[in-house]
Amino acid sequence: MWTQTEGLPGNRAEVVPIPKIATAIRGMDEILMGGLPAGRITVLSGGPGSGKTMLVTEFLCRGAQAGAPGVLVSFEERSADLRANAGAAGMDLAELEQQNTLKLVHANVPHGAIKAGDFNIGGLISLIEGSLQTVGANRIVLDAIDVLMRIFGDPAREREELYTLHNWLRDRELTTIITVKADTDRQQLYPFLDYMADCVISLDQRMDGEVRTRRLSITKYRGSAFLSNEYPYILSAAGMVFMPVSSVSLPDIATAERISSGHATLDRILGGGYRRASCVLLAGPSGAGKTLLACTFARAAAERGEKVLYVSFEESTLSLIENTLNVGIDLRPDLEAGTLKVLTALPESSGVEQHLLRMLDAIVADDPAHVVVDAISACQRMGSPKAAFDFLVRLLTACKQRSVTCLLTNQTEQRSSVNDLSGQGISSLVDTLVSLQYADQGTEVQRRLLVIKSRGSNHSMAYHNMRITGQGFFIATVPDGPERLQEGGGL
Amino acid sequence: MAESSAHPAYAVAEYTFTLFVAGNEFNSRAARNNLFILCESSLRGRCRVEVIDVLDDFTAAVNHGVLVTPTLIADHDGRVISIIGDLSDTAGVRAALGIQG
Repeated sequence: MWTQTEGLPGNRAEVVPIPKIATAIRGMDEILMGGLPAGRITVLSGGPGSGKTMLVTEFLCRGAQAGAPGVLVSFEERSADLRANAGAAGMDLAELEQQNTLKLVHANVPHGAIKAGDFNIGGLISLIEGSLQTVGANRIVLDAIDVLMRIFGDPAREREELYTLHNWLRDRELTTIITVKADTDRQQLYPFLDYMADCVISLDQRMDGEVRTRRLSITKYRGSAFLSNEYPYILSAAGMVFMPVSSVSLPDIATAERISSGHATLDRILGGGYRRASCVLLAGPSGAGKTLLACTFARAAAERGEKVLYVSFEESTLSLIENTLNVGIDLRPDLEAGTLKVLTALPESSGVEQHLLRMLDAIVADDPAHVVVDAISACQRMGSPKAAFDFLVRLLTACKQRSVTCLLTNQTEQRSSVNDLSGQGISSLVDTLVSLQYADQGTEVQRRLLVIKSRGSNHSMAYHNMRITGQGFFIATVPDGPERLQEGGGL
Repeated sequence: MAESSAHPAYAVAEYTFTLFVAGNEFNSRAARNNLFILCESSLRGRCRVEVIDVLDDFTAAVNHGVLVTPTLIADHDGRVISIIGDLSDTAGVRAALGIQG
């Protein structure tokens, strides 16, 4: 999903795209629908720590690695610091400098100089030209232009000089990124720069609950369509990673192939099993049998030779194996064969984006047919309900795009409304919803299973008694149970 | 076109000036002129001047890190003084360089 730009809605067909330069930054070219405008100027603004310098460094670095030399003129950071910071993100700038495909210039703004009359940025233009020539580059980054502009101490003069610079860069047809600081209101220091530039990108970071989230948005792109929402990104050990929700159309679930739940009776109750590439949610209180049903499904899929990625937020791999062995399911052969892979994660360990990246990486690496997430209720611990929702929507979207079945479990309270059952506000994305619950039978509690919805299926609307034994689980129909679903299809 | 108006009588000049200009821009022409007047009026025989046009010599701007033009780098008694601008503020320039009168 990262680099793909085809499959966009047909109404974009009238846009004749301008020439673009791919950034090769993960996920970014999809948002930019191909890359930055070639031979033109992009303004990148953002507050401190938002990753402006990292983004431009990676842009030049990826370009240089692919044989397109670049120049980075920094008005703020020293070259040694740039090298060290890039190194922490897996980029070796010194090597590129030795290969003469990258030139770092620390433009030391003479703030201490005595001013005796008017001056202009003629020196900078010469310095840029000289630097470009030494490496044969036509892409240039001017990082923290505001630091230079402050020397003029006069808004009118700053504006004149920025116009001069802009015109020179355009005449030279250089692919340029100019970075500029934004204040706390996300307003960049030179709004008129946005009018001059062909592409305007802003980075923003904020705290969401106790988790830091970073977002990119594009506010302008002359001559090109672009994805216009805010896109989360992370600064990872391998560079920046953007998380676009693509506009690629979703597969039609109702006509998708049936796949077995791993249990013949459950398949009948569902009206023929689950649908491939659909989203199945198993909801119920603790101990109701959610993990059992999930593992039954995983086992059956692995038996058919279809790979399953099992994301466990609740248990370690070992305890998952032991607990399912107690109910007659042996996951070990599938784990050894590699048809089943368990990914364990502690929700609190990192932010939403890191979790999502790890899972998407695993999905890309293993190419599973099905993904199980046990349990999505744990996702709230990634920061906030909003964070959990973001995480799930993005994971589900990514899975649907790859035609991967998603089987989710959700731990609920015993008396939950239908909307609570679907969990974290994702009900519209859920194709099949199975509720597991306990019914008080006077002297004992009875486990019950109810298929609340299953899109494109003529499923049972009855409660079914369920019994869990050391050999698996058994389901029986309740002939005339009074408890038809009161909420009634309001999903 | 690095101009040089060195005064051979003084092996070590009291003032060594390097003036970075950008072609024949108004500011740059003014700076050359103002520096010439200063040298002629107050520093006759006591200074060496080198003018570097950054539009001719890109490497000079890179090597000296010159961002704005005109920039005057003055070396006086081992002290390096940077002055930016067209040097029209003669009183300011004289004060910065420690030139009396």
